[in-house]
Amino acid sequence: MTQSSAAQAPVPAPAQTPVTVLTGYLGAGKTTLLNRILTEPHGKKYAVIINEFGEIGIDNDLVVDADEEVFEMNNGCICCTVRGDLIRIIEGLMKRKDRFDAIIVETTGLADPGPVAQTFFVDDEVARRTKLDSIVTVVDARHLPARLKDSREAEEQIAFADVIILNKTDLVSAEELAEVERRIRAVNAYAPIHRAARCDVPLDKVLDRGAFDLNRIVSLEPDFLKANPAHGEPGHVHDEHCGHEHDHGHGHHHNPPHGEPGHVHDEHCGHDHGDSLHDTTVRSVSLTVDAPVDPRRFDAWIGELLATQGQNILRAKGILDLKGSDKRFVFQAVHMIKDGDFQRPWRTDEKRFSRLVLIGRDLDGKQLQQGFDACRA
Amino acid sequence: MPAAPDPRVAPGQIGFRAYLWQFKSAIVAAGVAEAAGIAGFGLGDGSIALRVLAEPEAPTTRRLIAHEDAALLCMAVAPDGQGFVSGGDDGRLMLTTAAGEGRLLAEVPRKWIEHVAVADNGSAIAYSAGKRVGLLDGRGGVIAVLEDHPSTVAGLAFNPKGKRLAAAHYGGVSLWWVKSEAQTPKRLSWKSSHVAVTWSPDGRFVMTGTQENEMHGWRLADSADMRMSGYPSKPKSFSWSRDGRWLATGGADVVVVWDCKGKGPMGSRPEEVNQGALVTAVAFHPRHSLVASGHADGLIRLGRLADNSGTVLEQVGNGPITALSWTSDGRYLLAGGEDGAAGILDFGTG
Repeated sequence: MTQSSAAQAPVPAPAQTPVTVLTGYLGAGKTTLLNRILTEPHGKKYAVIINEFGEIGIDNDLVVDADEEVFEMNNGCICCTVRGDLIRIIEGLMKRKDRFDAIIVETTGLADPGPVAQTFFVDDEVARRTKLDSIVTVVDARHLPARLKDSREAEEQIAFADVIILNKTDLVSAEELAEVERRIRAVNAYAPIHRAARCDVPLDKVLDRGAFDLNRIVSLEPDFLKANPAHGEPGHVHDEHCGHEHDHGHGHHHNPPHGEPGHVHDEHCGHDHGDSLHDTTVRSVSLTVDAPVDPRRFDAWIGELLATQGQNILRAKGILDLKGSDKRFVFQAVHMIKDGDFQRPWRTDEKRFSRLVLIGRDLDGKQLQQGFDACRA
Repeated sequence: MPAAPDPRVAPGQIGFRAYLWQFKSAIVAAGVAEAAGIAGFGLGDGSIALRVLAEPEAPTTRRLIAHEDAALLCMAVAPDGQGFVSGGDDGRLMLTTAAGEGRLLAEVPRKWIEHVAVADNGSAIAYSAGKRVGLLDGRGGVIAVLEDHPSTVAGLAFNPKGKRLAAAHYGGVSLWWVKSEAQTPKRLSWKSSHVAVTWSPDGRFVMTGTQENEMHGWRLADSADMRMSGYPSKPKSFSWSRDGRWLATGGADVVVVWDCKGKGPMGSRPEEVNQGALVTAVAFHPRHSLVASGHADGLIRLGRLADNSGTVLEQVGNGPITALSWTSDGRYLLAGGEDGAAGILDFGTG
């Protein structure tokens, strides 16, 4: 996602070291997960960057403790903040690259993941030497509802996540667990949720995810679809994939009435998602156009959207059927920093579509869909 | 015999002999301990590789461990020219003599010592670890510890006489006096993350490179700001001509050389030499208007300011050049790269 356009002779690119970012509130179990990653017999060596020493020790040779330093880039983009400490430390670590195969950044419970993620795209040197693999968020099933009430960071950490470890599930009832998952889904419908008691999830669900690799954007379906109980079954979450018409005019679509058990709050509830019933203001919006999209119109629209609402749009991903191309165009953004490229060709047996998912604050789904619709070729 | 490249000869016609080595670890810094006649390459693995300048063809390279089981993050030639001062991720500032003796000058537990500077006249040493800057005299005695920085210090530079020190950080530069009495720094402010700093040889300007790919400068007489933009990358390597008029900078695909006479370079059109891949290291010849540059593809170039002519001198590895420096007589040029390649170019071959 670097935006440097310098025309330079090609420089042999060194292998980029993968970086996994671990976020989560204090006590959620980040360090437990970290120690599991470090001690399992996978034969890999890690460099660990932490911003606070917790009560649990970290079982690793190479641990760097750094003060979190968030810098605003003086480039006219107000949401373009980076972590100065990460830039320095990665540069320092790379002076002895033989000591590790990958890097794990454990943020403080109060850290905003935005600057962490942006660092890997804004700084040329960091982008040259490393690649952000994924943002893994550990949440505590028992305390998440309270955290969502009192902290904006807890919500942002979920919103930014590529993978969510829902930890300490043994400490809550089945109903509480379902409610916590529902609340996570309301913010981030796309990241897979892995239930765990003591962060005991298979590590291949956490590492080497390639979540920021454009080539690995294969589908943009909400994660719960994969495990969603069938239509009509208890717990089924209705969405655009149910197979019944998504009719905005009569929009209760099998959702139990507001206030009833099982009710899923959505854009049809009629109440504002920022009110006291909901402690979260971030949500996921999916936009679809079933006809080819005009590249120039899309460019202009998404450029304007990110320029004006980029502060509120935490992450975005898209797969586009651009008019005039037989290849899928894939797109992603972190706040205002965007990146896109052509990927594999559309298969003849596959239905072409253009879909954009946005996770952000105060997003007007209707208006966004209209904007996207206007990009039709 | 002229002991340096003759500036009247076009760069492409200048004769030299190159001696190259390959190390397993990145070259962090290079310099010559002139009193000892020893070239030192500071390596990421915590060691310093030593070459006797007068014996370039000697088969062995001595290696001294400056930072045991740790990374060397910065290095400068020791004030007495008999060795090297280095900082590591072990939190130690070490003095390593060419004779092979090590001495701990300072220790900051659990922090990295990321920057070190030695005054030109050898009167003082400064190092930084996080927000802390330590000032030592030329023999390593403690002068002061300066804690008052708003963020981690990202660069250090003494003024020419070694009486003042500039420390770059987020939001600007702090200027300190080299003294033990309590003091408040003079702040030069500019909203930016300043990632490298240099002080002009005439003492009039302090210049920084910023995270936003700009040069920023202050004219000390009136603290006037100067902005020099247009770099595609962060300018982090600087080198002044001996007379202080020209400032050569990296960060573009050409060495950008600012004319700092009069009121300073802002608004002026810089000279450009040594077009190629991204310039990652620059070194002005100490006597002539010749600029050496190291590039992201491992090439070393030499350019002449008078007519912007230039030539490729040598390929030192295939990765970005991270260290480049001349001996004070201008006869030898040391170069080292991120991939562990190192070289000494000898221009004193007649």
